[in-house]
Amino acid sequence: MWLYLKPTLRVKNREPVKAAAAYFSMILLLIGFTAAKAHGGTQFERILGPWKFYPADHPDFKDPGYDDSKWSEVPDPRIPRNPIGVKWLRLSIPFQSDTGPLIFSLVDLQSAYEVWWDGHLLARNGKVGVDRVSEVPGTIHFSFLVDGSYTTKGMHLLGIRYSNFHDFSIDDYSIYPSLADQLSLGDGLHRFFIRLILNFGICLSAFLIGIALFTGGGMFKSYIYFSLIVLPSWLVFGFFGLMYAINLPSWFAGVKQLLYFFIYNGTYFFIGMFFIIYFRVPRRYFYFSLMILLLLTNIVTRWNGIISLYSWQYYVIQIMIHLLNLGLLVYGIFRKRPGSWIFLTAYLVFFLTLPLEISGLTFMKHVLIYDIAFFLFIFILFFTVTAQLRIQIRKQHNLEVRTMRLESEILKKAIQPHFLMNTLASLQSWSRRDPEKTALMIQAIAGEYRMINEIVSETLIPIGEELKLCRHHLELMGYRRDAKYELICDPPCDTEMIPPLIFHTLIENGLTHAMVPKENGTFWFSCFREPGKTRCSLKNNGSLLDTNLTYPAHAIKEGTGFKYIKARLEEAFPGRWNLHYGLKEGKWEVEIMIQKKGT
Amino acid sequence: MGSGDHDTKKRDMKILIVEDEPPIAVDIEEYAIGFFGDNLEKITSVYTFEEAGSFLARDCIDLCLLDLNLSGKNGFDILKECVSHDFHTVVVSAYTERAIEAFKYGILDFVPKPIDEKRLELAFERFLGRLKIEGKGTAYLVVRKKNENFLLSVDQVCYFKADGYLVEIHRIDGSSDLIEKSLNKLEQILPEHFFRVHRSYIVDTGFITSYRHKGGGIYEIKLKNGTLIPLSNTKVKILRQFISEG
Repeated sequence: MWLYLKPTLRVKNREPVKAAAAYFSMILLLIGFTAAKAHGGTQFERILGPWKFYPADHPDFKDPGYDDSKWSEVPDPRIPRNPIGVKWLRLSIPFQSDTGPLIFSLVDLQSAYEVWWDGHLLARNGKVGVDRVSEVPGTIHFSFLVDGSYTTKGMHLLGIRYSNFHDFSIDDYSIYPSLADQLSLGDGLHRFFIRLILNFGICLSAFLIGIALFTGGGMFKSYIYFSLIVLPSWLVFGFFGLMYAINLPSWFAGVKQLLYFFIYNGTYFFIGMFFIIYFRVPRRYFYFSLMILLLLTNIVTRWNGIISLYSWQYYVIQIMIHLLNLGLLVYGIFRKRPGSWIFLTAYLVFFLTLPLEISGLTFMKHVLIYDIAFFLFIFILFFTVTAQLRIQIRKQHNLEVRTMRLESEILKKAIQPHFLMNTLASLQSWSRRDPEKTALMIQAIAGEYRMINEIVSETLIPIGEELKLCRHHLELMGYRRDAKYELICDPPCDTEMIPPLIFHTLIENGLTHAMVPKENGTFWFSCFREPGKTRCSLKNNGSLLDTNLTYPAHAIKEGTGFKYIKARLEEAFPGRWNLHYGLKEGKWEVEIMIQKKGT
Repeated sequence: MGSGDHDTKKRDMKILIVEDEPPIAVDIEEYAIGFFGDNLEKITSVYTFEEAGSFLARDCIDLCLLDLNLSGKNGFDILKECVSHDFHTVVVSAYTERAIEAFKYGILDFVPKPIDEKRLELAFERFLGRLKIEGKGTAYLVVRKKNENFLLSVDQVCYFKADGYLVEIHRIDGSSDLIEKSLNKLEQILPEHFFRVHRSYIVDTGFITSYRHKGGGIYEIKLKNGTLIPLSNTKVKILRQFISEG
């Protein structure tokens, strides 16, 4: 049975291996990820405050005795970007006992700062300046050892004097100050890196598998969008890793903020694109445009500071993007597209991260929920894509089996005992009355059988060969039905390649359904090469034609013949052919259009 | 169980040939003319089901010679139409694997293609009742109601009763229908367990519980449902023998 398979088709059957590999690697990565998560925690203790903030500078601000009760409070701490200049952050820290040496660490504060402890300058990151020239930006991560003599029992004042002339953030942003002993800091960093590397690995694998499926699995566009969905996350995790490996200047915190912005927007945008392609949404360019419009609105308004992060306008745009994606999902469900329910469930889980954000929790605080939801979504997405792939493979396999079955059926039809017996009965009849005609009929039978034997197992044959076979068949049927049949080819066309027995089957249909015995009939064949396509047409007359039929005719029950033709065309020209039939100017016409590859 | 008393002995026989290959139709015509000779009044060949349908609607025939696969259409539809009328049908077809199924619909014979003249003559002999039909396998009768054909399993039939030109079919459940086929023709095609007990009755012997002599040479049969049916005194001996053979 497999002997009939073409080499190219066999290659496609390796797909289940790829799909299974992708599926299992995703499961393993997910298990690894969740296991690491279970043992991990927040990266290390963050000094939340509330800190006191003042957007100006004064020498007294370093003194523990200075009254900062009128200063504004910054919870989280999430500090305002504006105004640009020298600013202060202060926080009173009580120690219950002598704590010993601690490591002070500060991440993401832009651009340069000094750390004061009870009025003493402990460290500098860059150089605080009064303008862009005098300011020297520090590094994105900054840490130093606080001597045990400072961390004695009692109340202490932690002051941060900073300037932000090299601020690259687009909005208010969070900073990460912490104070921890060496052991817990190291442990926290260790956990943080494990999680980072895992996330990076998951996204990279998902990205690469998507690309591999696209290039090796029939160039389905949805795979590319799948890769693009994970691309922003992958870049961010990669950037995070880089950030810790190299001591980058503090303004990279602004770039990081931009990346977060693109994670959200890019991810939702590509998810939308994926749904449009995967669910085969009609008027896709309209939805593409709508998606791009929302994305641009989001970018432009945020960029120019028209809409600030976490403002209601920001959420309106976010919700609109979500609603559009949900709308596409509902379309998928409505159209019963495979996996649409799973996608919806996953998307809703993902969607839950939004109210958490609205509730005032920062991105990093609900990172665990976000990560789980996101990776669950990615996992399900992958699972469904591979399931879809399996369906396509099954379809391909079924098509092959069907073609083989139909090939054998059509062969059976041509040389089946009934055809043979009826032909012999006719031959017997002619032999009793007209020996000359009998001899001609024997030649016609031999001619037809010889040709069928030559071409039936070929995938493609020249049209000239097919037409030769048709003429043999018409001659034979002429004797059997006591009629004269003619096949007119205009313009002559012999070289185009088509699957075998296509027009032979159509001629057989024409004889059976359009012409009564003893009725002479004519078939007209034409084949035109047009830019990017070939159009073949076969027409016939006949007294049995239903004059109520139109072109194209729809209410025709297609028999084995048409099923065979369609299966052979799909096998030879996958997705690049179409077939119409119906009554045109009193003649039955079947038109087959084959598009050239790559048009 | 054949009977010599056939209405096909008449000289004005009419035959219809339904065959989509004209040379074969000519052959069959010639064979029929050769066999029936002067007894044949009219022989007609048609090439399509449509032609056959309109012919049967306006003409009466005695025998139909039918090709099962005409222009790719299912011959069983026309076969159902044919067997519902009061004429015999002989199928002439290359589809020998469907012969058993065709017999279930009550055809008289099945002649395979290419046609052997001797085999066709055998079918004609059977039509004339000169030859016993072996292993008659009619499983269904086609009952026509309001121009629609319904299949009735012969297993549901208790007995047949002649009613003028028609025949009443009495079912086990007490209901009845009318068919156009004569008792003579039914007798030729029905399975062996159906017995012509009287000139107006054919009974499924499985339903007979007893028979009795009413006196004066009149006999009657009692069926399981209590129905009493006259029994010809000429048939008593055969019935006794038939029942004792099981």
